[in-house]
Amino acid sequence: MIKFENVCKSYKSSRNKALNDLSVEILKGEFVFLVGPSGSGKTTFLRLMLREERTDSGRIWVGGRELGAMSSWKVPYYRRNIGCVFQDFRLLPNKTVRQNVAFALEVIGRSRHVIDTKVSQALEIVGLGNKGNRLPNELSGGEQQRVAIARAFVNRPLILLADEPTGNLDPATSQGIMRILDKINRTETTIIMATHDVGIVNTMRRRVIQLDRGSLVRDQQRGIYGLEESDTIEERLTGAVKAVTLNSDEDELLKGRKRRRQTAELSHKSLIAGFDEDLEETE
Amino acid sequence: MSFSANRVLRDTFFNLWRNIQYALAAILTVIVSLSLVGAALLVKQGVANATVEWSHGVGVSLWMNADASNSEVNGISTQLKQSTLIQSCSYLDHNASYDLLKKLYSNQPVVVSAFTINTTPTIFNCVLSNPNNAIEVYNQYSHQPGVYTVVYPGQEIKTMEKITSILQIIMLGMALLMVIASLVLIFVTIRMAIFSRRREVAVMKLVGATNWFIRVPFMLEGMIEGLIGAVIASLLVFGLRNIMGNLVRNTEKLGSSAQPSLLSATVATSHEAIIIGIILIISGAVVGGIGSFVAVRRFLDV
Ligand SMILES: Nc1ncnc2c1ncn2[C@@H]1O[C@H](COP(=O)(O)OP(=O)(O)OP(=O)(O)O)[C@@H](O)[C@H]1O
Ligand SMILES: [Mg+2]
Repeated sequence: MIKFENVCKSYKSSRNKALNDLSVEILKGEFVFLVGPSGSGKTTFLRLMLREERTDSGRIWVGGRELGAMSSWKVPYYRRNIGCVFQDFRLLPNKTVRQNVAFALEVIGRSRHVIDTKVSQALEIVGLGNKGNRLPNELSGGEQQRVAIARAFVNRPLILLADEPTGNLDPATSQGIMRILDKINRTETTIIMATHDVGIVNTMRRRVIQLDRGSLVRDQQRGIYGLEESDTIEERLTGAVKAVTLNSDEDELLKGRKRRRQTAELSHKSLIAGFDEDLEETE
Repeated sequence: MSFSANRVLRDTFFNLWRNIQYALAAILTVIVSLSLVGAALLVKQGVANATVEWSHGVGVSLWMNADASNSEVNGISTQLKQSTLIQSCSYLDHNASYDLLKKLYSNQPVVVSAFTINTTPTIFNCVLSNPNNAIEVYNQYSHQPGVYTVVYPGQEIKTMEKITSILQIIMLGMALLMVIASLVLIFVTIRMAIFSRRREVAVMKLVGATNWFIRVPFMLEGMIEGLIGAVIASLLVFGLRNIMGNLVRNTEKLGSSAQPSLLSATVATSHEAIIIGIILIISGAVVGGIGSFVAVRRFLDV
């Protein structure tokens, strides 16, 4: 689904590489935490995936397309497959909740009818079905972030990128956001989330990719935010090797997902079934 | 499709309204600059009209009476050929001079309808051996039998050309400066529009709106500002032409001018004014388009 191959990236105004020879592969439907200290290259990783930036060297494939070879007029169409959520929500203050979500479909030329049904669905998913006519400044931070998620998801992207989506929220609200992201992930949507939130990473136990000064230092399935003191360099390396073997073992991954899906809350079931049909229809 | 066209128009006018002070400044400079261009073109066309037949070589014209006899015409012709004051002459018979009349008065059909081919005076157009001989020729020939009048517009045309060419250069120079000012103001207006909608633009890029989808409303905004300015400028130029036309007609009525056709020929015809208007409107759209395109290129790239 997503593959970084020896990717290097540096910005004009700084000498150090934001990403340094990074190779990593992410499968369809995975939920990945991107962790690492400030300046380690997490946002750069996401911007490269969006093709807001281009690599200096190395290649990035997303859904079988190599981003370096993609002509710039195709980029907007490519981005329609990717949803984005940010720490600062980025809602339009003069539009209502509904209008904010609808905007994402209007500007790619969807018909009124499609927009109306999809927006309602998306607002239901994030639990804001009854607040469609509010303005963003009439909502709490958590609610605003849920609108942003609805906007990112309303076109049913294959991939959802989230850059510190809980960075401005208290732990309880963050939990709510994570439940929604988890729900979205169960519709086979790949999620990559950059975060500094130790609690969330440690309770969710999903794949963790850790960067430091632009290099991959850890890639761990069911990982935690940081390694315990006792971890030696060898242990980190074996962790990475394990992660790679796990990665390639797709069967096991799928089995795991099926199990998870069966244990999903009943109340979500019908909704999720609805998603899957939609996904097939759009693809 | 109509949904999207609707959106584009709504966005465009909403932007224009939100940006109204800048938009007004841009439109005003477009009006001033294009009015100057239009006025310069009007003067240029007028002078071109006046000189089209009375070209540089022609020194004097002898207008015969429309009912002058053949012998009278032949007599004058022979005298002109032998005269040392005159280099050469061409003769416009009834048909040719009627054609000329129609051309010179094409914007005043009343005048043309007052004549028929046979009542139009025939004309000798003569090149002088020395431009200063004009008065002498006038004195010698104006009282000869069959001669209606002698006109010598050559020098006046030259002076007029000199004055108007300086005038034209000044006008075009000022117009050029104003056109640059309009370009800059439209650029600034569109930059402001982009800036005031930067959040929306960022979201549009993020969710995959195409470049053109994002750009078109801004470019249209610039073009509409250019167009509004240009339409007003063309109306002003039309008005100017009519004022000039009335002025000339009034002076003609007042004075017993010997060369009515010269003055009235300096007024561009309404047909020419329409062409000038079209040129201005196209220029307005182009100025608006270029100003906004540069802004869009500079501030809206992926
Ligand atoms: N637009 C830019 N121009 C120049 N340098 C940049 C730019 N964006 C990022 N950098 C540099 O690239 C490096 C990686 O930055 P990046 O934003 O990817 O880090 P990050 O992991 O997202 O950090 P944080 O956790 O603070 O968000 C940093 O050293 C940063 O200074
Ligand atoms: Mg960052």
